[in-house]
Amino acid sequence: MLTVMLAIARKDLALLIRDPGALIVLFLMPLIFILVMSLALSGLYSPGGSAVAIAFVDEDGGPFSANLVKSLATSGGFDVLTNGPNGKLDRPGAEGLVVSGKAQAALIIPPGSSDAVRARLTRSGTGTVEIVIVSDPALSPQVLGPIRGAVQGLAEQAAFLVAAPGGIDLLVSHLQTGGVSVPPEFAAALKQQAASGMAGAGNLVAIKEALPAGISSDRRPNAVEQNVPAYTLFGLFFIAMRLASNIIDEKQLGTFRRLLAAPVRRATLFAGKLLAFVLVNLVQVAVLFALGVLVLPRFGLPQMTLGAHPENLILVSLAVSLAATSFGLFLAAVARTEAQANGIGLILILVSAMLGGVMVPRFVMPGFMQRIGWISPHTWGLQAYQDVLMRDAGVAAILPDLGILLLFAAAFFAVAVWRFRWN
Amino acid sequence: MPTMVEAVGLTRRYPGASAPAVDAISFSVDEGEIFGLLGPNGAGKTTLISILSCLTPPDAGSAQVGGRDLVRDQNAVKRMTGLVPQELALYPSLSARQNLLCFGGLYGLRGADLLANIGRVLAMVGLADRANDRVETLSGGMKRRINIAAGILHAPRVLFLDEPTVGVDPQSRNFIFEGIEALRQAGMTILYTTHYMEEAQRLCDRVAIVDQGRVIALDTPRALIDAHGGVVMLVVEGGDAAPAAQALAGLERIVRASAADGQILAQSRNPAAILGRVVEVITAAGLQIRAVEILEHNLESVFLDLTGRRLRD
Repeated sequence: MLTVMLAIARKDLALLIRDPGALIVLFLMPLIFILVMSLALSGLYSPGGSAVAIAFVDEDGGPFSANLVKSLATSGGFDVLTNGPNGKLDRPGAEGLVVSGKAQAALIIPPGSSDAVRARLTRSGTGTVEIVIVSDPALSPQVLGPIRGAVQGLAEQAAFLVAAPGGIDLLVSHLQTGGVSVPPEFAAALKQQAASGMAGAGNLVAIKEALPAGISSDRRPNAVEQNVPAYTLFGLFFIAMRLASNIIDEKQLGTFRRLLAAPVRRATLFAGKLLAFVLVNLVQVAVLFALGVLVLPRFGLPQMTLGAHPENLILVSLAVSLAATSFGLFLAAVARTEAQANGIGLILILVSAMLGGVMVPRFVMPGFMQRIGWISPHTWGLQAYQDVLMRDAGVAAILPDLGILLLFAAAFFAVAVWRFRWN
Repeated sequence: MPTMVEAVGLTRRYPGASAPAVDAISFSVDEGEIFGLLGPNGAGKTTLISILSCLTPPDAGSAQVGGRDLVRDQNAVKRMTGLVPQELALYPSLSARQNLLCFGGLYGLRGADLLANIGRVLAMVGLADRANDRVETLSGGMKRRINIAAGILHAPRVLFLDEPTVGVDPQSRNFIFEGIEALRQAGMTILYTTHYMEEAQRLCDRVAIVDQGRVIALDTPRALIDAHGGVVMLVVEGGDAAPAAQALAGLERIVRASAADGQILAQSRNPAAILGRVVEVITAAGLQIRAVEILEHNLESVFLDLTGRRLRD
C-alpha cells in the first residue's frame, strides 16, 4: 500500500512542479499578500507614533505623584492627561480613555505611595512602592516597552526626590549624635546631589502592568503576527483548487481509469493524492513563515517570533492541510469541470477567509460576525497559529482548534467519498 | 487450451440510456489467444472492456478472468489484467519514464524490478531512446506506444487493448502489431477491440462481431468470411427494391439478397462474376442504379452482410 501511495504522491508532486500557475498561486500569491498587507496595515495594528498620550490617576496626592506628573509633563515624550470630564481623573475614567484609544496607557499612583517611598529609605527598605500601567492589549509591545521604560526612569527620579531628603536628614542626625558637627550647607548640597545623581540607580519603584477592567488578557497581534499566519492559511487553502483540478484533469485525460484499473483501494488512491498535497502545504508554511521571521523585519516591520513551542506549528499546519486537501476532494466530487471547481472553490475560500479573520482580524468584527466566523475553518486555523506564535501555546491549549479542524477535514472527506463520481 | 476469460450474459445499461450498451454478451477466450471484438463505434466494445477490467460493474451476468470472479475477486482480477484504454491515458507533462514509474508503482513494482520492467517495455515499443522525453513532445503514434507500454508494464496474463491504433502513423501501427504478436508469443492472452477489419483479420485468432451491444457472429476470421462471402452493394432508385432483391435471391451463385432504404445487397462467393446478372435483374425491374460497389471477401463484407451497415458509418 505504501509503494502505491508513494507512486501516486511522487507523480502528483512532479505534475505540480511542472505547473507554473500552481506555484504562483500557492507561493507567490500569499507571499505578496503578506508583504503588501503588512506594510500597508502596519499602522492599524500598532497605534502609537510620536506623541504618547498617558492618562495620569493621582490617588496618592503626595509629593511623589506631584513630582512624577511634573517630570512626565516636562520630559517632552508624553501628553499627560490628568483631568477627565468630571474633574480629576479617576481609575475608571482613565481606563475608559485607554479603551477608547484616546490614551495609549494609564498610570495609576496608588494611595500612600509617597509615604511608602519615604519609608523605603528610613525603615531599611521594607516599604514597597508599586505603581500600575494600564494599557490596551492591542497596544503593540514595540510601543508599550518604551513607555514603560520612560515611566520607570521618571518614577525612580521622583521617588528619590521624595526619599533622599529624609534619608540625608537621618544620616546627618546619626552623624551628629556621634559628636560630629555637619555644616548645614554641606547637608543641603548632599541632598541635592543625591537626588539628581543617584536617581534611577536603585529600584525604588516597581511597575505592575494591568489591563483595563473587563478586557480579556489576549494579546492582540501586530501587522506581521496577523498577516503572516493569516495569508499563509489563505495560501494553504488554495491547494484545494489544485487538488480538484488534478483529479478532474485525470478524469479527462483518462489516467483516472488507469488508476482505478490497478489493484488499488480507493482510499489508498485518495491518500496518495493527499500525501503529495499535504507535503506541498508544509513547504508553503515553511517558506512563508521564514519570510515573516527573516525578511519582513528588513522592511522595517515588527519582528515575528515563533513562540515557545514552534514545533506545534507543524501540528497546526497538518490539521489545516488535512482540512484544505479534504476540501479539495470535496470540490472534485461536487464540480463537473475544472472551471466549476475553481469557481466554487474560490468563492468558498474567499468567504471562509473573510469570516475567519484573514483579511480583517476577527477582533474588530461585531459580535454576530465573530459568531458566524465559527463556521469557517480559517477561524480555527488562524486562532491556533496565533496561539502558538503569540501566546506560547502548548499542545493542550490548541487541542480544541486542532480537533475542530480535523472535524472539518472528516466532514469534507466523507462528503467527497459519498458524492464522488468514479466513472 | 484452458479458458482465460469467460463471460456469461454480461449486461450493462447506462442510467438514462434507451438501450443497454452491452446486452447479454457471452463468449470465452482461451489462454494465449488474441480475441477480437470487431464493431462500429458505439457498439459497446469499450463498455465490455470496462466491465472486464473492473471499472464498471455489470447490471447482470457474470465473468471470470483466470478462474477468478470479476465482482467478488476484483483485486485478483485487476492484478492479472492490463488495460490499454482507448484514450491516451498518460500525464503529458511527465516523461515517459515518470509515467511508467507511477503506473508500475500502482501494481506494487518498485526499485530495480520496476526499472528493469520499464526498460523492457520501452524496448518492446521501440522507444527506449525517448524514455526521458516529456510525453507531450512525442508524436501521436509514439504516445500510443507509451500508452500500450503502461498497460503491459506489470506483465499481466490478460491484456485489454481498446482501439490501440486509432490515429497512428503506419510506422507506429507496425510497431504496435509486432509488439502484440511478440506478446502472443510470450503467452499473453489479448482482447483486442477495433473497428478496423484489416486489424482483426491480421491479428486475431477469433473475432466476435459486436453490434448494438450484442455479439452477432463469433468465429475465426476465415470461417466468418467463408460463411458470408463477398457482397455486391447497389444503391437504386425509381421504385420498390424489395421485389428485385427477391428475384436476385433466386439466382444461381447468389447466397442471399436483401433490400433496405433504397439499397440492395447481394451476397456471393464470387461477387465480381455475378455483377452482370445483378444489373440485368435490377434494370428489368425498372429501377435505376445510382452506385455499385463490390466488396471482396473480408470482415467488412461480413459485417455488411450481417447488419446491412458498414463498419465505419
